[in-house]
Amino acid sequence: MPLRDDQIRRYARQLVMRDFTGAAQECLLKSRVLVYGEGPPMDLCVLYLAAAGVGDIHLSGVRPSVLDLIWRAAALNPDCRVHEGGRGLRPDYVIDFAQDAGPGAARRAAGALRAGLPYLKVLRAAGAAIMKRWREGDPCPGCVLNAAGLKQTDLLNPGETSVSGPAAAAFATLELAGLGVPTHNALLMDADKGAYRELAATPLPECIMCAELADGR
Amino acid sequence: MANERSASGSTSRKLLDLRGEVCPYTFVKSKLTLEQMAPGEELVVTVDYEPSSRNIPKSMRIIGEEVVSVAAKDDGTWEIVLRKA
Ligand SMILES: [Zn+2]
Repeated sequence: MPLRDDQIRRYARQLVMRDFTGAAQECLLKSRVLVYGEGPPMDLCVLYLAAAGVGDIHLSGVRPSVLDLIWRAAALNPDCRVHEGGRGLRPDYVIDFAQDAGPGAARRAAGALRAGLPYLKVLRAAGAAIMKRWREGDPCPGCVLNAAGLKQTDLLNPGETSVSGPAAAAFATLELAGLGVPTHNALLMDADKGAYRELAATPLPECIMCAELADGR
Repeated sequence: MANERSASGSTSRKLLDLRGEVCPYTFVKSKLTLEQMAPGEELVVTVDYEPSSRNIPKSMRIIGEEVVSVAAKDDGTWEIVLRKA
């Protein structure tokens, strides 16, 4: 269905880009994104996805602020519907903001890869955030965290690092619009310096979670 | 939107009247219209917002579309002829 005039006005700021065609915007409007986790960057990610015109956003897990977020997204863009819960859903994209780089995250990554779904993970530590779009053969989230020089305990007191929210939304938006994946390397965002760095991480032979991730394929 | 034959009679032309509209809508609407057209077809865009008369040709060249002509008319409008690449 071609874009309505009000939609062309609403999405004009991204439709000006050469490859962001009307067909790309229509893909985005039909897409379904499943989001895990909570926190300010996750809220921002949802609002950016809503503003970009993602059709349906499903929030997994119960959190007190979910109704507020649903109202804010609806007020931002009536084209976007935000839902509570994502059980049994077949999404087009998975974004994981859960502050967990252990077995739970490895399981979600493996589940998404097995289902052929794009899986984007965000982890926050004090003053830094890591974002990575997983693909086959990649190490487990714990090993990526390790490659960034961080430990599981660094995730316990995350800074705001809100930039990771819009950054994740931009990754998902581009891929859902059919414009490709900006990078599969882990992106390390230094919130203090405002600097970005790409990390290439490889699976560790002795890591059980890396092995399980590889087995999941 | 209307269709007409060009002066040569060989290529089909589409007309897009964007009087009363401003940037960035004028460029985006022109871009989306070109996306629906076949290579070589021409689109004649009419605007009455002066910045659009400069921004549409500039942006079209950036995204690789051909700008055939830009003409200021006596009635305070501009006619921009684009050809789908
Ligand atoms: Zn590992």
